[in-house]
Amino acid sequence: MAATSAHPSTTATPPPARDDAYERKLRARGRRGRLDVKLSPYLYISPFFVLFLITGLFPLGFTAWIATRNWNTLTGDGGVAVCGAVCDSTDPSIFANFQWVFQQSAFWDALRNSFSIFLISTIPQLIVALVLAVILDANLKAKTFWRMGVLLPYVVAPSAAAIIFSQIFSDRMGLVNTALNWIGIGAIPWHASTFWSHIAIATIVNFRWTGYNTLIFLAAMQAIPRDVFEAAVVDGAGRFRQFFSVTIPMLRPTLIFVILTSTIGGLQIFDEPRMFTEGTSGYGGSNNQFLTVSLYLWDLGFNKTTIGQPNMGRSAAVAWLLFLIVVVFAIVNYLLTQRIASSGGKPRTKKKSAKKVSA
Amino acid sequence: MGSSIRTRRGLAATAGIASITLALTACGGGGDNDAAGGDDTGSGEQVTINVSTFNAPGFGAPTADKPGADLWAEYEKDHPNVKIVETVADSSDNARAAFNTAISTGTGAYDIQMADIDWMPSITALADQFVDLAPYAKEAKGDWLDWKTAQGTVDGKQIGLGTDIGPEGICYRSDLFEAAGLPTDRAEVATAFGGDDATWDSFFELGAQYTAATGKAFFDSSAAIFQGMVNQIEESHVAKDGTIIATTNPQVKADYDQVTTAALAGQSAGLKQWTDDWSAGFKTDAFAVSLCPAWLVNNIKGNAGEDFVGWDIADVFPGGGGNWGGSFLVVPEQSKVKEEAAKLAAWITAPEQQAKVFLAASNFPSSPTAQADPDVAAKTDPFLNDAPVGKIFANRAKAVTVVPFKGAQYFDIQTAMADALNRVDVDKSQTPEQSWDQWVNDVKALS
Amino acid sequence: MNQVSVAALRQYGGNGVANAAARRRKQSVTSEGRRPGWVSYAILTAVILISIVPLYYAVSIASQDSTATQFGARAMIPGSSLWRNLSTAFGLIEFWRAFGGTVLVSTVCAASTVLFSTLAGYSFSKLRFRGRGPLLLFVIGTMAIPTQLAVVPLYIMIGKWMGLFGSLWAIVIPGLVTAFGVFWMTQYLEGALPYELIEAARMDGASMIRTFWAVALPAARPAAAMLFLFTFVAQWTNFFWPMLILGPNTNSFLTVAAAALKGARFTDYTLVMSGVILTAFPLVVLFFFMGRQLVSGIMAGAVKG
Repeated sequence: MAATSAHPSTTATPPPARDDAYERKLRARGRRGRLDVKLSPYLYISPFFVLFLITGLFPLGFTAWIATRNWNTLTGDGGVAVCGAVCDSTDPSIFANFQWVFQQSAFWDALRNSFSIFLISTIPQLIVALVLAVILDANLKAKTFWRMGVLLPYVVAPSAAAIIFSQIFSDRMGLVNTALNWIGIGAIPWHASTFWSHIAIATIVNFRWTGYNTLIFLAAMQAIPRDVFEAAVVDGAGRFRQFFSVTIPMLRPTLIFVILTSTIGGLQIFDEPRMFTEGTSGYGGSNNQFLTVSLYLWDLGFNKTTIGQPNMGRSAAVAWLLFLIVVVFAIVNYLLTQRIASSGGKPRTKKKSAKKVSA
Repeated sequence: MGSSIRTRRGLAATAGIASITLALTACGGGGDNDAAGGDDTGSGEQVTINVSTFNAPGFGAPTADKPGADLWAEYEKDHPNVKIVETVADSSDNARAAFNTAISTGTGAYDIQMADIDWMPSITALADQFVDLAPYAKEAKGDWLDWKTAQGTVDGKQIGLGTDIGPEGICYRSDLFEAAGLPTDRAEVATAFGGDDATWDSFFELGAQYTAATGKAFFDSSAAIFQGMVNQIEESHVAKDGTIIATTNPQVKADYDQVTTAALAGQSAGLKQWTDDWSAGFKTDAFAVSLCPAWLVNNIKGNAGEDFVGWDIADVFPGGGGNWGGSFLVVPEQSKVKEEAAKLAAWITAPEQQAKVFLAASNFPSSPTAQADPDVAAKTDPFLNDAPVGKIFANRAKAVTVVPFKGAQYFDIQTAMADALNRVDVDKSQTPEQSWDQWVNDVKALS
Repeated sequence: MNQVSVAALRQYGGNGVANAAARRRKQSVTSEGRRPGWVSYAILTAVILISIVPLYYAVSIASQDSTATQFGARAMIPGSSLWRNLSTAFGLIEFWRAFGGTVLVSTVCAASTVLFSTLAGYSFSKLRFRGRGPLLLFVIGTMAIPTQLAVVPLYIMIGKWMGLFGSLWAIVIPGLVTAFGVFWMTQYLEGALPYELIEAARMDGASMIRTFWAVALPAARPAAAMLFLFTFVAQWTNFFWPMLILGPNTNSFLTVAAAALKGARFTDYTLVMSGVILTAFPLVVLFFFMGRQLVSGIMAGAVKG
């Protein structure tokens, strides 16, 4: 059942009890066998947990630690963080880096941009993906060809796509602007304008992910039992009515999932704005037009490394803030989508029956 | 029995998994990364020296887009045990970011790193991480202008050997000047800019004249012009005692006001430096004038194309003389072949090689001996309408009277200043006053 | 690195799909649905064309005869210098080195992710042990952690402490396992591996690891292949972390090499685009061979439902 993918608890059900004879037989194997049975499960999960501890969990705590320190990229740890001239304070405080970050208009700009680019890319992308999925769901000729066709951009790295699109969206002589000039509309300031730069970056994001999400939706659509549609047709529902009152509610878990991951991914967007930046400085635009939180994090921690500043500490503070924002938003998003999508009562019962089938 | 065999095999498999994990980590720990390269030093043994440069340093073999004196091959020929691998980064900024992270981790840095004068301060602040190159330089008979030596020296330790300097003239498009009714001959152009008494006022006056006559932009970028101005201030952003004076320095503000006023009057093409649009501008008549440090000629040539006709250079600069850029070579202590690397660095910055670089590319020597080389003095550049660039840049170098002090925060402050100017000039998203205020905040955040 | 998580987490959506596909088969779909009109084909053609235009534009720029920083619309007409430009870029990015590095990283990460995920997934789905529930919940919870959070400490740990700055192993280490992989394999094996099979093997006297090897691994093959493919693509297109940790050593990873080639001072876009094409090319070729699997993977991950 598709709902399980977004529902951890379902997967946590223990395996069914095995019969006693089997257990007895295992025990009969003696100490080594018993140990094998007892230890193996832990042994098998241990590579993951050990590696994850090193590359995931420990860094989480370490980031929090660095965020409280006066840590410069070049000179390392320099004691407890100090906020400095920005807050007129030279007192060491473990919150100093956070205070500094909150005082930076760049941080708030980055936050605004991350959300804006996320929304501008996600919403149209999902709508287009849904529509394409509906089209692909029909009994097309050469199905695999069309499916592969929409997926093709997925194998192009975002950084590479961004290089291509930065030519297309070049301000003076880019493909789009030459065309617009030719039509007589006039050039669009793709880099200088906050809004247009977001559109351009969202385009790069959509280029890669629309096809992918289309296939996810398509698969979910094909999993909808056909009898539900048949029932809707009997009820006299047209194609649009079918789409809105059958397809969409039935896609609920997939929708929740895709929106959730788009949130997590979208708020971390880095490659596109990094490569969209023209020139070799002023990442994210000279007025932070398209500076995202991740780009800010990188610029602060690894680019503006001047000795004497706790730049890495501040970067770590941004990382933690990003983490909190992502978590909060993922939760809010989850609750929101669940509420919105669960409004129809009828598909719900249908899904329960579906669950039984799959179990 | 059977089961115990199986168990053993099971354990073996598990151990296998564990050893893969270990192997991966061990491989990483033991195996040298490619950047550090090379194995043991010791004369006669094969060594690989990895060199990181940026832009168009002119050391390597010439390529379609970058000139070069092919000096690595020459050195390799004389030293059969040495192999040199040069990586040319796209720009000083990117080279700096990569270099800083390498230095901070203590691994992965190149054996020789080319460093721009604007980020030398962060290197001199970590002097103990770099090799003292003075003995090697002495052996290679290197010599430098006094100020160039001083910029690479900390407490008597010479960690940076100067490559080139960036004496500035003014490059102009004679065809566009002609169309605007301005003189085209380079001596007359120099006079039009004010000759020996040229000031920024007279520079912008000529610009106003050009813009009035053609309705087109005069210079490429406000940030570029500001670079020319700020390099004439002895203490601009950071005072010699280390305090940040950028936002209260009247000269900085005056320069900022002057350049933004000219930009808003239509004199600037509003292009951000080092962008595609800016590069294209050298070919597309987007502007008629560019400040011209010697090394930038490589870029103009690369951007406009070798065969492009129109660019010329005038032996003049507002406010006397100015130096923009110019680099150093440093050898990190972490290098595994630092001895060989230091020798190479000393050799390639020796007067003879500096002269060769200037003849092949356009990076003007920082060595007085190389500057005095007759071939250097006699060099003309067909791309610049056969201008006697050897003579012109020598004159321009002599005109430099101020050696600007660049403190640790200089680079970041200047970068923020470029952003500030770009907000007004390129994005046109802020007034000069708003943009200045934002810059003041940005500078404050650097503490 | 972020790419891994983003892509991986997106795949997580494919997981519901896996189960859904299994379900689909069980309910034996008889009606193949309505016949689409020409409009459907027209829309699809348009969409595919739109997504190909940027790629075409890149190739076309790479084929131009004269160097320039910008081409505008005139580059829509291809030139004749594609091979010349490609071969120049080939040398500039040291293609074989970058390609080899990328293949190595992608393969090692994908293989390790598959192996460890299958092991853990088998354990979580089929074995009973204390703490199983909470541990699995923990794995799922960590999927929401943005990997960029770890960039600063990973840089210090891997770059400084392990001394791997500039090394390919620095890219490999954070990509050895993914929480998603474990979750994916757990989900799959839960449905695809009947207890009877495990018990039969155990009755025959097979040890635990032998059972895993002989029973679980073959059963996991379809999902493992999927996981391999997606981890591979995710690593191949990875940029943020490699760019950061490779530092000046740009030519050992394709995406980073292409980005480095996008020089600002000597912009010759015929070369930049040639570089981009070279870095994208291997995966596009792979796509033509494996695209079908990729599609059916997303569509019907659980082949053995």
